[in-house]
Amino acid sequence: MKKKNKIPQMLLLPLFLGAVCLISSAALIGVNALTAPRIAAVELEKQNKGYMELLGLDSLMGVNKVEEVPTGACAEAGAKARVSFVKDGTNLGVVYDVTVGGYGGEIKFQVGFKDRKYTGFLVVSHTETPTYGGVLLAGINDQIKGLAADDELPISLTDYAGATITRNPVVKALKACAADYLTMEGV
Amino acid sequence: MKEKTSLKSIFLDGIIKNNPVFVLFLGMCPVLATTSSFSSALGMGIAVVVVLTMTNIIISLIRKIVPNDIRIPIYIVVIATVVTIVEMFMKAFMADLAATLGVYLSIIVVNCVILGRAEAFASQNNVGRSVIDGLGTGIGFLLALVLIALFREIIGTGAIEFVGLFSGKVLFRLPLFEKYAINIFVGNAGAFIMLGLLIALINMFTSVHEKRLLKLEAKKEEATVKEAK
Amino acid sequence: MKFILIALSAILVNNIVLTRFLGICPFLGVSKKTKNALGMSGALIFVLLLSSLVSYAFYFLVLVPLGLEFLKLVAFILIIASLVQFVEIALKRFMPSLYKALGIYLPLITTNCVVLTVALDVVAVTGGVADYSFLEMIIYSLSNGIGFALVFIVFSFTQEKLANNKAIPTPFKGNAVALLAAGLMALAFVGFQGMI
Repeated sequence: MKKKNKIPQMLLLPLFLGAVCLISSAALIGVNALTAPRIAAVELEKQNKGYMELLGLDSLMGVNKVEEVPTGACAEAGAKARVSFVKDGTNLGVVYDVTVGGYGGEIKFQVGFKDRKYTGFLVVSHTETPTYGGVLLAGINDQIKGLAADDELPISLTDYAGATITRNPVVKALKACAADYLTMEGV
Repeated sequence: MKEKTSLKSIFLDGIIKNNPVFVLFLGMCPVLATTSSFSSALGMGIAVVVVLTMTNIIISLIRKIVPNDIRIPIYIVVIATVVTIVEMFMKAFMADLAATLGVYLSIIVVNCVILGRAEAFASQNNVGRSVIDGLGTGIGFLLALVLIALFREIIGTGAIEFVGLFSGKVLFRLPLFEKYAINIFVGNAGAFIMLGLLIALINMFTSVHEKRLLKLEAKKEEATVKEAK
Repeated sequence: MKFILIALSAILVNNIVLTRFLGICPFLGVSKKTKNALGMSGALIFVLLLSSLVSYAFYFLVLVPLGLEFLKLVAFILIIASLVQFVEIALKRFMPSLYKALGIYLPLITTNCVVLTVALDVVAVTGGVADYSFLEMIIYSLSNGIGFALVFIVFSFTQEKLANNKAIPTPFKGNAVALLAAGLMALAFVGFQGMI
């Protein structure tokens, strides 16, 4: 009698585990379907807020947004989109949406340009070590705001020790975006 | 007849006698990492309360049909699922908090407290008592986190800052003595040192409390001996 | 070279125990004897390497093509749990003395934050391209394991001196003084900041 019970037992255990895994996967797929659109919407809202903050705008009403996909060195360094803002014929500035790989994962940021100068740097999301990469990212805005676009970037490692892997891709992308911006006419 | 522990004592046990951080010493990783600011400690604590209660409920519900040999992997799958769900909801509705907590939110999966309570309590008690245990232990964890964070933030930055959990905006900032802030406590080394000092403090209190209890008992015995005479 | 940068960063600058606060439970609980610390470190590096490998492969070969990235937490923890179980059985059969020496610490590697975090780290993707190539992933996992082992073993030296030391006041005995010692170690490691 014992033999009869043992064989189904060996099949039963992995089957049970498999069933539990399937149920949990189903639950996760469901919740993902529920929350993913909301997460995307939150990020979009953050992006728009970023545009407004970087260019000193109060709202995006009546502003014409021209979105282009950059090419060449700029795109290679991580720029995903180049958005130019025009209102009533006047150029309000250009913002680049950039995604680079840092130490702990993706760093998504926005950098704004106007009148051949940097208007600011905004981090959308990152997963860097808070005391090294995090500190570096938090300090970039103050360092480049108002700087001329063809100037050397003052983000030195002596100010931010321990953050090389965070700093290098960010600085490379900033330089590439600045170079790309300078090729634009009338902005 | 075995005395059934009251719901109240289950709840209070989780907070005081079996406090996961100060007594059982489980789940230390998030303690050091998220207590650098009051708001992230609060957010982390709430996440743990939610996960702990939910996993206790689920495991208590399925405790009778889970084969004993594979109960640990099953519990792990349940916990991982609950944590992923909580993570998704947090990213959708509390995006700034989720970003601050980062990978430590995922690490709740391997937090020994949750697996420990599932194994020790939820797998042997009905749903009602498991809920109370989950809430009690979770709140004990939350209170410990918040206590450590308060100390670290006040001594480390000289001010208390309340950040809205849903809005991510600074709601309230109370500067106390910013000139005398000891910055080290907000950083890494300070986390270890602050926790060590707090545990020493609590050890001191518990030993004083125990000595007092012993004295009272000794007095009671004397009194009964005198009466007998 | 990028490999040296990854290794230095993971072992010293972004040390997984003292800077990222992971693996604290065994750090305080197990390291009281250097012999145990050595055994635990070895087991951990082995499991870490294997689990990073399998998780990396599973993520990019199965989860990504199916669009099921959000299942990674459940998948990775199951992979880790099974690997630890497998290592336990293999050790019991082929190296029973080591199995006995490790005792309960081996199954505890399942709930070790280090293993799960490194697995989650190596599958990071930026704009559709994996952050860590296969070789970089191996170096990263190995370096984190070495970083853990380094701190773990050095700390066990300290713990051996702290245990049963009469100079420690009573409230501080045990975990409190261990934490203070760890804090001083963390301070020392801050000195490595400027390396990268």
